[in-house]
Amino acid sequence: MLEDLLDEFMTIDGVFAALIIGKDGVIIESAAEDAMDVEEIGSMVSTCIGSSEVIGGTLALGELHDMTLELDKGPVYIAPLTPNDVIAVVADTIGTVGHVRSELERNRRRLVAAL
Amino acid sequence: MSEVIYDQSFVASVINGKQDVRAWFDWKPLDGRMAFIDSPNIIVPASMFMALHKSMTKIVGEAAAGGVISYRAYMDLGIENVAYLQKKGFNDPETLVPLAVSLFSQMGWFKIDRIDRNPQTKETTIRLSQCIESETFGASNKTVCNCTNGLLTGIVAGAYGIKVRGKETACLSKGDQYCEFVITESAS
Repeated sequence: MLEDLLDEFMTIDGVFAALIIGKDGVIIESAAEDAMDVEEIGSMVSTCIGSSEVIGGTLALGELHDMTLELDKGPVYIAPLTPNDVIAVVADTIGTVGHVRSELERNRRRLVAAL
Repeated sequence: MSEVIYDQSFVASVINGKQDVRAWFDWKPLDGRMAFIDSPNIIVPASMFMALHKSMTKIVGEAAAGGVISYRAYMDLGIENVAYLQKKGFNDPETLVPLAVSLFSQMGWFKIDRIDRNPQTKETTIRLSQCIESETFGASNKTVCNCTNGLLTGIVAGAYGIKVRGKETACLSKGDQYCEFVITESAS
């Protein structure tokens, strides 16, 4: 089920990886076009989410909804799904983020239910 | 000291818990030097675990501090430790894993209860009857030995040359009778 849902993200133009990651860095499910060390990516995403949530708490700015790393060759979109799990989507075109975000909102309930 | 490490009966006694490894230490406190099997070492207080954990938790949150940074940093330590032993001539993983684990045990990290390897599933289970990381943390409602988990996982990864994932399945801090780590080959 999770695999099917991640495959839907993979059909978005420019997306080449979609991962569900525990906040402790453990990969729950992943879909990726190329050989990619998803465990390494999972660890990095977990650390990113962790420090961002700490910033929100320290500055009393509330909960983290999502974050986008805008890099030269494409974005990494990260969003919490549950208190313990996050989704990360990697693409090679920055314009993809809006599409990824709307796909996530469309499928959020199904993703959470499948966890 | 360089000769004694190659004494196979001595090594077997270390693995069996019958022989301590003080002969492999070269400690010159007045020179600010300590070496273990010719490699520079230091003594750090066990409270380091809690100090590091608290500091990292402040910065990246608890899940990332324990499950990611501690686990992965100590996994690298385990891999490097095994690589060092391999340079010393220990290449059989069936010897490397119990030897490396025994060395960390004798350095005060934990007491080994058992080490099991299932050749069919390639799963390694390491059970500890005492663990300084758990002792330092004290009582908890969850497993706390992320550094030990990473270390043991790294030892298995380095010895067998495979990608693995370790999970602490029982923890003295939770009230279990032992700390247990199950290390399985990673799918990725």
